Amino acid sequence: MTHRPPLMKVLALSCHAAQRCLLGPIDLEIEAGLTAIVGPNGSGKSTLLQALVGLLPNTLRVQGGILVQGEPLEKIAAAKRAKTIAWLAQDVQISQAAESFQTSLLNVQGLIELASLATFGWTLQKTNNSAAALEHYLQAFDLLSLRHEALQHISGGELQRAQLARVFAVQSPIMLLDEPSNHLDLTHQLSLEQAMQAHRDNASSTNACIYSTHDLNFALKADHLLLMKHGKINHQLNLSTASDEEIQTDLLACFETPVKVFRLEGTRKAIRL
Amino acid sequence: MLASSASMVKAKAPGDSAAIVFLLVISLVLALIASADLWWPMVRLSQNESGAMQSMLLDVRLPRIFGAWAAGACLGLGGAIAQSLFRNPLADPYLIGSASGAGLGVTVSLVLLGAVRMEFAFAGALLAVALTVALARGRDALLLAGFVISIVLSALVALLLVQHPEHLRVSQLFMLGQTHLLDWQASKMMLPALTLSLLLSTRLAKPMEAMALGDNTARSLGLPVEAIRWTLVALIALLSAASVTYCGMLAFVGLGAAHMVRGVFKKVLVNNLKLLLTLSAIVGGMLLVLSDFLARILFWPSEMPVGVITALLGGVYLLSLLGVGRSGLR
Repeated sequence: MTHRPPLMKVLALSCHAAQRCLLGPIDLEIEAGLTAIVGPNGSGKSTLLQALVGLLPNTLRVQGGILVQGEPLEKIAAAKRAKTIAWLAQDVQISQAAESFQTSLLNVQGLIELASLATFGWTLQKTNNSAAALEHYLQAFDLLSLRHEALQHISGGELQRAQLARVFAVQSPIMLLDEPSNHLDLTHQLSLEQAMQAHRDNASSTNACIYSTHDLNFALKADHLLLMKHGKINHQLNLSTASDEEIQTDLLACFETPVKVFRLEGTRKAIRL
Repeated sequence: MLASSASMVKAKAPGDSAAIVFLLVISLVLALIASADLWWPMVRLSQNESGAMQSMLLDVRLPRIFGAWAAGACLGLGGAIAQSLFRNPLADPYLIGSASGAGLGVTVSLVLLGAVRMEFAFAGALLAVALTVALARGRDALLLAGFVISIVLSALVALLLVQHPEHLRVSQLFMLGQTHLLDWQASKMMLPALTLSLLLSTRLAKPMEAMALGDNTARSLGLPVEAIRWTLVALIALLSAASVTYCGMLAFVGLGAAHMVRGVFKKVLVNNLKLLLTLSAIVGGMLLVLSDFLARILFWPSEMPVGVITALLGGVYLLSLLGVGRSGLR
């Protein structure tokens, strides 16, 4: 893989809530391709992803800077940022909002069509021009038969797939996915991996997808691996060059739980011992 | 694929306008029925004889019917916006304090001037909402702040009335909700508020749908969530202040209109909050015209306060929802 300028650059980013340090200081360069973030609960994965999309609550004290394609994140207009960076909230946050589906009238297709608020800008009210993307991701996430189902009548995994389709349908160069494989069955985990790889392997191959997960095998599908602990990036690995032993050692250091990394039919796997 | 979706949009639009026209026609029929006692005899009377009836119809009855429709539409729309904004199916437009503010305004005008003055009611309503917003600062506290402001202002009203018991009856009538004060001036005030709110809120319908997914997700889609929220709060304030100023506190209309629309038009409303807002306004208007009609004829020749009728209608409707299933209420 040839070296490209980083899509995102994080400079001495730190984030405090009252006395507690949630994040940082972090220095990080995010290149094109898939970047997986793993780490124990509360290690700052979600906070980092939220910081990268500029959506940390303003009750937090944030220092440092984030550059997106060379431009400071806070200087980018919301409409342009929405086109550049798509973000999937962790499902906890989704389910809190889910009770409001009772007061909204959305079905699966309507949910995915909301992506066009980002692609076309919310003032334009053109909601159906992204039809091609809509159809593509309805299919990619196996939602064709569910497209007319009301959101309050579908399962957690189905809602997660619909939310994923909504995020992918923005077709942004940068995607930040907070535990995207939550609630997905085996088949749809595979659909997700394929959709992420297709996003990476598009024509210009300048797309980046950063995702957090607790599924080490899913994390090992990435090109880069970030191991987080206590709000800091403990280790950073290029998975195409790192050895199995190296990964194993770093995972042990991060989780303090022995992990075995090995190859099964050419694919890297990890299991807890 | 683009073509198929374009045809889908086109197929959707006639459904929208059909529902709107259907409800507007029903509104018109209701208005005709509610004024039949005046225009029906006129048809058969000579020009001379019908003069008094005509002025009765044009100067008293029609402004009353039209004003009731406008006030009901304000409440219906305000309720639909509030339910979407607060993500709560039980929200109504009075929640942010406007009703108690208008109540205080009316009571103050009674005490100071000895008469009900609309300016006082309107100022009171807006002042109460401003207090609520100032008290809430953050968004989550808005409902709580509205509740607190309502209680405090109601206590002030009670205090004033204890000291000036001669105004108790008029003040109570206002609180119960009434339509007999409606004149063309009322419609002139309410219609612009209604039109502006309808235009703005339907324009914000898609962003409101996205905000149902959570504030941060809406922000990630590029929406100025705070600005939209405060715009909607301002619309709810304007709508409820406009209606409460002329009709007092009307139970149920704001809460129930959107519920009825959701129950009846479920199929066409999918992914279409815009239509829900529009239809809730029309149904709110219909509800109040109907209630006003019933308030006039049920105990004829004496007249009920219309708020009593809306409360009774609403109670029966909500009870039937509870009885039929858990679809509407939680």
